[in-house]
Amino acid sequence: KKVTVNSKNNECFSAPTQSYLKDFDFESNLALFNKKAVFQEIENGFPELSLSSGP
Amino acid sequence: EINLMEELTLKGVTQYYAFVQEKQKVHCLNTLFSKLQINQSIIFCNSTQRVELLAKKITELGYSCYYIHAKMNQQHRNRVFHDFRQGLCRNLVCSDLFTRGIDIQAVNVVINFDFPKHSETYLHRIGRSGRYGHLGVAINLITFDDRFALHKIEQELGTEIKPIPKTIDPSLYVAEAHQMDPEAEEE
Repeated sequence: KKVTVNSKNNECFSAPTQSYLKDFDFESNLALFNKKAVFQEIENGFPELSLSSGP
Repeated sequence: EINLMEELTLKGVTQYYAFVQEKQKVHCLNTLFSKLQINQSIIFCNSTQRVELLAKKITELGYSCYYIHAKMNQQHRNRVFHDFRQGLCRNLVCSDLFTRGIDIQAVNVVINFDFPKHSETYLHRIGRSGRYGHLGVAINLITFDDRFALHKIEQELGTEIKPIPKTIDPSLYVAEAHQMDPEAEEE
């Protein structure tokens, strides 16, 4: 668990500040997540919602 | 502890999500800082460690910020919060410390850098106490792992968190852009 937390933190906070010169592309990232379809899948496949069942 | 949830409302708060990967979160936040008209903002993380890491990162990016979390002693926390409330700093990074919602009028932007796992936490972070119910925007950074929590929180609070639009209408969260009628205030 500890390793997971640390690697997540590294992933999140290790990028050099200079890599943010361009704006974050909200639109193309939103396009990667089909909320409606994902919700449908959750409602169909996971009637008992469990947060720990994530990958 | 008294449950104050019913005193909190999401009314007047426009809620958006941005879909991100963990490694894109800081980049996304940096862009939000540059695009949004922030009067004061509160940025929430899910752990004390991440509060400190993010506060450091925000400072490196050239923005001023204070931070508070549960591992700081109460006296120190109170002082930082008091100074933030006085407007001495524009941004506050914190973990979940508020049990009554944020009753700082000047805060017009709340960012969930880490999406919470429970609706009660979400409401405490984003909700406003009924006596104010002023305008604000809440931006949630959502990773694929957050999909279950997003679904659950929307369901439980009966609310909808919409995808962040290309431009956010300032009248939704900037006081000067929206002439507020004090007579229209609801109890």
